[in-house]
Formats: sequence, structure tokens, C-alpha cells
Amino acid sequence: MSKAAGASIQFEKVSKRFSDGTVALSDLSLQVPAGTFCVLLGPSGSGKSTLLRCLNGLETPSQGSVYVDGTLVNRNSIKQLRKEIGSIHQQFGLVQRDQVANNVLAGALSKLPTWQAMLGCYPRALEARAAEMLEQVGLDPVHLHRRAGELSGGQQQRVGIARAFMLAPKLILADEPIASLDPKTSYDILALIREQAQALGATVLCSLHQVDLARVFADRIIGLKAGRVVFDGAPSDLTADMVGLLYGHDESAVAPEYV
Amino acid sequence: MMARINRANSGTWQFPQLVTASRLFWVAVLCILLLWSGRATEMDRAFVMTGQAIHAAATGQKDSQVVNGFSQIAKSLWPLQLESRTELHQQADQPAALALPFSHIETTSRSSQSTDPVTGQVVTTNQTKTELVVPYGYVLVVVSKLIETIQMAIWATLIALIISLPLGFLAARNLMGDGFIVGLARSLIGLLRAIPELVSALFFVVAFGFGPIAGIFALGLHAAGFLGKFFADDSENADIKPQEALVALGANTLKVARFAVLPQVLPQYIAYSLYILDRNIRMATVIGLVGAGGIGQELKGRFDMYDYGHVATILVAIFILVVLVDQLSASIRKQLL
Repeated sequence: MSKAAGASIQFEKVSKRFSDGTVALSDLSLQVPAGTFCVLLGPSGSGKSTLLRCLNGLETPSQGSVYVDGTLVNRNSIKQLRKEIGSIHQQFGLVQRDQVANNVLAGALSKLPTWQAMLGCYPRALEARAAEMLEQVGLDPVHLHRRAGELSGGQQQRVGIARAFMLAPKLILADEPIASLDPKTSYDILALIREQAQALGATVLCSLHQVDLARVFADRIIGLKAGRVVFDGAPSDLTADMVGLLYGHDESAVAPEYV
Repeated sequence: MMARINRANSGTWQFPQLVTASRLFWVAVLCILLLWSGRATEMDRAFVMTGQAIHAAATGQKDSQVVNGFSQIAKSLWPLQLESRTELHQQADQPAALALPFSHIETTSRSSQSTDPVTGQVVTTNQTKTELVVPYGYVLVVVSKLIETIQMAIWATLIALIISLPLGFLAARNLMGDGFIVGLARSLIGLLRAIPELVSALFFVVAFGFGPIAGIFALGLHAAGFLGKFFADDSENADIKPQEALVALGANTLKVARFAVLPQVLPQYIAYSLYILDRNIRMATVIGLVGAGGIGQELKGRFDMYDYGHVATILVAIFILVVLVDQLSASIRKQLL
């Protein structure tokens, strides 16, 4: 696969209010240059997932605009954009009952004519690419015909990563990719994502709950609280006070300009 | 040493109670409704008559209407009709007719007396009747009808699958959204399910004539509604995470259905299809009553001619078939799932 350059990300005054009245994002503006490994931190419900889901079109912002690589994300552009966005999911998002092979090949479905997909016959080139990806994420040929649900959590996320990188994406969106994994596996999975993204020059947007791991892997950390950016800077700038403020329960602990 | 337990104030922690005033009220309402409807449906008479029957059977008396009714049926059903008799008119037929083992030819002569209308004298005439008797001939007829019934059920199941797979897809909100198409597909499924096989078979018999076609269409359409509903509901209950993952990776609705939903629901789909095959075989025996082919048509014909011995043979055969099908589908299910 040819090397693709990364995609830049831009949020312009984006708000997202769900039909039940929950405000997930509130007037959020953000810019991430191409090729950055950017980690999103913040307590549960702070809007990390929603921010990521606005990028791959799983959610539509109530207000404001989202740009990927300079292209406005909307109904017309999303079909093309999704071919360049790889998504990695919390709980992996694999079909548990299906074989690893089909789960990985599913990452290339957007490139396949529908009739061909219905018959389930993939071209040789895609099969070769899937084998290459599975090897790179550290799985063996014996895993190919195992059901995804039979693998360990770490192995399942490796399958998820292989699927996300099938089409050599410009942008990787990882929504808590290491939730429910042990510390060693968590480290390995993040290292794998960074390594694969660097090989492509792809931009990574990754939400995490582990501040220590964020410090290790991130080029840049964005702290979210109640749908607003409360921290944006290099890992070295993320002080213990800042972390306390990010996860603090006391509203008065948040700096006034962010409330 | 036991840790000191801090006793919570029992007044502030209210756990759910089984018996509450409102539940007692609704149970009372339900009882009154059941009593009222019991009068309307003669449940009291059913109770008394069943009690009398049990008493009569236990004490050996025969004054119960129910016992009399059942014993009359039992007498007329016994013995089972197993043999078949075909009258032979030409001697030349005999060698060919005896091809089946144990078959033999019986010649019966009967004399009858009648009054000659011209002379007014009583005349005795002797009639000889040559019959081919096959001791298990009627069993063969029933078996061939059962095979026709099974074939009807298989074709009806095939038709149901061909209709219900796309229909279930169109009726699944997780795939098609919550718009006009889902509403239309759900209404169609409701319509198919709402018409019982026996009723639609009546119409199909008028349209296609007596025979299996009517039965197959009637069974197939009803089962299509049944399967369509279950396919759609299962699709909606499937894990959403892989579906979202594939949508995010740019897969269209058909691809999501094929790669994120189908692998999840396939075991249930197979189980439902087997159940429908099982049910179609049972229903195919009933649907013949309105002339829609299979064993039911034979049953109805024999019943109308008061051939209760034949009816008994058919009933036993249906019972054996249903038991066999039940065993078979259980073992298939075990192997596939």
C-alpha cells in the first residue's frame, strides 16, 4: 500500500445536544495538525466519544462544522471520508461469532462492490493485505479461522486494529481502545497503534482514561470536561493540578473561564 | 471479632413488596372478569360434565354423556383399516396385480333375492366378486399421502424463506431506520401473520383448485409473516457495536446486514426455519381438510364417508410422523447450533 499522508482535523464552534437534552459538546473549537498522536482525556460523559463520532459521521453536530483534511463532514462527503478514516472501538466492535478473517476483511468493505460483498468473495489482493495486517499486529495464521469471541481481549483489539488499518487510513479514531485490558496489554496496544500510524503518517485521535499512558504516547493532550476543552497542550504541560481539575468532582475547582 | 454493623434506619430503605393494595385490587378485578367469562363460555358445565365422566369411569357406570361419546368414537375407530381391496373385472389383470408381496385374490360369492317385476316371482341371483386384497395396501396409500404432505411442507418453508428474508431485512429498524419502508414491511408482515392458513387455503383452493398448490401457498405465506417478524426482531436485537464499527468504516446497509448482523443472527434464523418446517408438516395435515392436498384431504374424505377405520389409521400415521419430525429437528438443531 502506498504511503498516505495524515489528515488534519478542525472543529469550529461545534455543539451537540441529544434529543433527551444532554449536552455532549458545547461550542467546541479545536485544530489538530496532520500526523499528530493526540489523546483525549476527561471524565466519563465529558464528550470524548461524541467528539470522535462527529468525525466519522456516527453523530451529526447540532451546530458548527467539522472538517477532516479540509473537507466539511456532511452527508455528501462522509461516504468518501470514511474510506480514509480507520475506527478502533471500545469493546472492539467485532462480530464475536464470525471468524477473524471476515472481521479483518470487513475493514475493506467500502472498497468492494456490493454484489461481490454479498457473495463474500474478496479479491486476492485484499486477502494478502489482511494477512499482512494480521502479521503486523502480532497474530498468527492459526488465528485466521478462529471466532473473534474466542480470542483474548488483547488479541481481539489487535484484530480491531488490523481491520482499522486495512485501507491505510489517513486518520485513526480510537475510542477508549484499551478499556478492559490489563496494563501490559494496554501499553502494547497503544504502542501498536502509534507504530502503525507512524508508518502511514496518519493522524491519531485517541480517547483514554489512563493519564500515565497518555503522557507516554501523546504528542498532544486535549482535556475535555462537560463538552468543553479545559486543557490543550504537550504532555509535559499536564500538571498534577490540571489532572485534579480535569477529574475533580467539585465544580468550583474548575477555572471560572471554563464553567 | 465481628465488625460492628451500623444498622440502617429501616424507615428510609423501602424494598419492593410482593403484596400491595393496588395489586390485590387488580387480582380481584381479574377474578371477577374470569367468573363472568366462565359463565359465558360454559366453563361451569364443562367442569360438571368432566367430573361426572371421571366418576362414571371410576365406578364403571355408563351414564355419563362424555364417556358414552368417547366410547362410541373408540368403537367405530377400531379396528384400524390396513388392507386395501380392489375389484378385478378381467382375469387378465390378475398376474400384474399380484406383484406386491402377500397380496392375494379373494373371490366372494353372494346370493341375493329379488322380485322379478315382470313375472312377480322371487328370483335368487348369485354374484361372484373377485377382489385383489393387499393386507397393508391402505398403509401404502397413507404413506404416499404423508410423503406428499412432507413435500408440501418443504416447499412451503422454501417459499416462506424466499419471501421473509428480504422482508425481514426491510422491516428491521436497525438497518432501515424508522421510516416509511419499515412501516410498510411491518404492515405486510402483520397482514401475512393475521390470515390463518386454513382461511387463506380456502381462497387458494378456489383460485388454484383442489390439491397441494393451494396448501403450499397458504402455508408458505403465513410462515413468511411469522419468519419475517422474527428475522426483523432478531436483527434489531443484534449487538449494535459491530454494526456501528462497519458503518464507521464505510460499509453500506446491505454490507452491514451481511457482515455485522447475519453472522450474529444466523443460529436463531436456522432454529426458526426448522421450527417452521416442523410446524408446516403439522399444519399441512390440517390444511388438507379444506381440500388443499396431502393427508388431510384423505382424512376429510374418509371422515365424510364414515370410514372410521381409515380415519384411525390416518390419525396414528400422523401421530408417528409428528413424533419422528420432532426428533429429527431436535437432532438437526443440536448439530447446527
